Amino acid sequence: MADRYWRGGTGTWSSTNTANWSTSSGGSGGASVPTAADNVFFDANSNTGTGAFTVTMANSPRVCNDFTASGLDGTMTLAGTSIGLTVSGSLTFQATNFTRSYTGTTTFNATTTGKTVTTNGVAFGGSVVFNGVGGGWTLGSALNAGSNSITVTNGTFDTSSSGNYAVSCTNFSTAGSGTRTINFNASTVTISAANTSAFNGGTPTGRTFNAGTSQINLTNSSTSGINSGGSLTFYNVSFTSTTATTLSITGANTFNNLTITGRTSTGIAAVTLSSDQVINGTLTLGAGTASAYRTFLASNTIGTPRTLTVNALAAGAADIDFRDITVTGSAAPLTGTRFGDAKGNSGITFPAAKTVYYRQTISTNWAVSGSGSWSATSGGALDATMFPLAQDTAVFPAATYPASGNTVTISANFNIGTIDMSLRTSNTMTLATGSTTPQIYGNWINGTGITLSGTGEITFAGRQTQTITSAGITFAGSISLSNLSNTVSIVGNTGSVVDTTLNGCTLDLNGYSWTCSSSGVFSTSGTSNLTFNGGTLQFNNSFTGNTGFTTTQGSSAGKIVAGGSNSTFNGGGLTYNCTLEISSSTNITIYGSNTFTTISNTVSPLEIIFDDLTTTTVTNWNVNGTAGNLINIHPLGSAPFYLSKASGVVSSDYLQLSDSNAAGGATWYAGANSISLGGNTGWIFTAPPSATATGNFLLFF
Amino acid sequence: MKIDFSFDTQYGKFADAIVLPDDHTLTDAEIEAMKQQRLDNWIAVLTTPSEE
Repeated sequence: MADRYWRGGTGTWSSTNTANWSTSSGGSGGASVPTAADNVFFDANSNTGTGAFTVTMANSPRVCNDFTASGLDGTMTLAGTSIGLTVSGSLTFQATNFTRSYTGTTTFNATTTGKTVTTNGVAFGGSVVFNGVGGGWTLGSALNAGSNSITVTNGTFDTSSSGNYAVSCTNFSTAGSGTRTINFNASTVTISAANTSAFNGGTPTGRTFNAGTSQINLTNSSTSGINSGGSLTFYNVSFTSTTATTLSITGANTFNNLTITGRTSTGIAAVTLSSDQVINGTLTLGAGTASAYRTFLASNTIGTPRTLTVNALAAGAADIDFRDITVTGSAAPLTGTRFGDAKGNSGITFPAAKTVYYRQTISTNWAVSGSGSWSATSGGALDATMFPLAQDTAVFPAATYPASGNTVTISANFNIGTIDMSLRTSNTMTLATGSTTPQIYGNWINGTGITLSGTGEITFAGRQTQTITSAGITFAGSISLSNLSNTVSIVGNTGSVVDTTLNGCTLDLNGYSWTCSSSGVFSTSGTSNLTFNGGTLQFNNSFTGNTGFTTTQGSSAGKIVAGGSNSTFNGGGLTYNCTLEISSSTNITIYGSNTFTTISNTVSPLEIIFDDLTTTTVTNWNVNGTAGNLINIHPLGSAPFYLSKASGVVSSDYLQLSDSNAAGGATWYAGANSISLGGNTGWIFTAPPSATATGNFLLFF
Repeated sequence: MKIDFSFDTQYGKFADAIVLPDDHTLTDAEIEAMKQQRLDNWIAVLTTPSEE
C-alpha cells in the first residue's frame, strides 16, 4: 500500500499518466498511477496557488484504496464522462472547494469493515454500488446519489447509528444472494424512482435488513413501490406523492407506520398489495382534496383478498376505494369518509349506496375540481361530495346535464358502480374514456342517444350478476368481464366491442348478439362460461378458448359466428355446445381438436383450414359451396386432419377437399360436385342416395 | 472536525454532517449557510423526483 498525492493542477487521471502523481504532498511528479491498494489524496498542494483545477478520470474505472479530498484551497472538479471510480477503502469529499462532475458508477468494494463514506453534501452523478465480500461502510454524512441508484450486493451498508444520515437515490436495492446487511438506523431514506420496485429487497438469501427507526419516503410523482423480495420488517414508510397513479407493495411486510398521501388533483392512485401486510403503528390513508381525488387500495389479484392487520388508523381517512382488502387488528373495522366498496372487502365500513346525478351542462370530465360534476338530485346543486362511488349509481338526466351533443370524459381509472344513461335518447351525449381503464361494479345502461369513445379497456369487476344494456351502441374500446364466477348478462344487441376478455365468469348472451369488431379478439381465461340462451357471439378476427372455458346452450340454441375476412378459431380442444357458423369472407383457420354441435357456413367460396392432425367432432356438418364457389377444405400444413361424426349421413356439395379423413361412424358424402385433391379418406364423392333409392320407397312397395 | 446537524421537516428528519479540517476558516454564518444549502438540496430531491 502506498500513498499518492495529486500535483500540478489540471490533469488526467488515466492508466498511464504519472505526471500528476507524487509520493508526497507537493512533491515531484512521476510516481506510479495509484492501484486499488493505494490511497489517493487531493489537498492544498494539488494545484498551483489557489487556482481551480480539474482532475479528469479516463480509461477504465479509476481505482484507489482511500480517496481523500481534504485541505483543498482551490476548487477541484473530479471529472470524467461515464468513467467510474472504484474505492477499496474509505471516501471523503471535501465540504468546500470540491465539485464532482464525473458520471460513472462509484463502487465501494472493500473486503474489510470500518470504511467510511463521507460525501459532505456532494451528490454522485452515477450509480453507487457497495460490493465487497466482508466489507462494511458507514456513512460519515448524508449520501445523495442524485438521479441514480444505490445497490448493496455484498457487505454492510450502515447509515450511522450516531449520525443517522439521510440517504437519497432513485432505486435502493440489494442484488444477488451474497451476504449483505443494510442498517438504516434512524435515517430518512428518500427513493424517487418511477417503478414499483423502487425499493427492491432482492432475494432473501444472504440478506439482513435492519430498518431501525428509519423513515423511507417513496416520492415519485407517478409510480413507486416496495418490493421486499419476500418479506421485510420496515419501520415507517410513506408514499409521499400527491399525484401518483401507480403504487405497489410487494411481499408480506411489517411496518410501524405506513402512510399513503392523499391526492391533490382529481384522479385515482392505485395502491396494489401482493401479500398481507401488518401495520403495528398507524396506517394513514390521506384524504384527497375532495371526493374525486381518490386512492384505491386493492389486492394485485382480483378476487384474492389481502389482509391488512392494522393497529390504528389515522383520523381523517377519506376518499379511499378498497377492493379485496380484509382489515383485522385493533383498528378494524376501518371507518372513514366516502369509502368506496369495490367488492371483496371485510373489516371496513362503507357508506350506503346512493344515486347521484350528473350536473355539468357542458363537455367536461367525470371528475373535476371545485364543486365536481355531480349532484345529489337531478338538476340539483353541484356537490363536491357527490362523486359516484363504487357502490353508487350514476345517472345522466334526460336532458341538459350535459346538454345534447356534449361529451363527458372519464379521465381516470375510477371505480364506478352503475352507469345509467338510459334517459339519453333524443338528447345525445358521448361518454369518453380515452385511454383510461375504468372498473364497473354495477350495471352499464346505454340510451339510444349515447356514443361511446375511447380505447381503454372497461372492466366489469362486480361480484354479482351485472348487466350491460347496449341499446345497439358500439363500444369503441375493449371489455374485460372479470366478475369472479358470476354472470355478466347482456340486454339488447351490442353494436360491437373491440376485444372481449372473459376472465373467470359467465357471459350470458341472453338471446342477444355480442360482436367483436374486425380488429377484435375474443378470449377466455380461468373458469369461464359462455351461455347462449339463443344468443350469438360473433368474432371478426380471432377467438381463443382456453382451458376452463365451457359453453352452455341454455334455453335455446346459440351460435358462434366467425366473421371478418381472415378469422382464427383457437378452440383449445374444447366442446362447443353451439353452432360454429363460418361467415368469413376469405378463410378461417381452426386450431385444436374441438367438438361442435354444428359447423355450417353462410358464404362461398371459402377456405376452411384445420390444423394438422386435429380431430374435429360434430353432430351436424352443414358445409356447402355453390356452383363456381367451392369450399376449399384442407390442413394447415402437410399432415392430414380428421373429421368425426358419430352417426347419420353427411350431405355436402361443392367442396374441394384435401388430406381430410372423415370418420366416426357417419357416412360422409362430399357431393357430386365436390373435388378431391388427394389424401382424403372416408369421403364419398357423390351425392347421397335419394330417399327413393335408400329404402323407404322400396319398403313401401 | 465533524459538525452533525439535522432538520425536522414535513418530509421527515434530514440528518447530515459537515466534515471540515480542524483549522478551517469558515465563519459560523458560512457553516449555517452550508447546512441550509444541504437541506435545500435534499428537499429538492424530494419535491422534484427524477424519472429513471
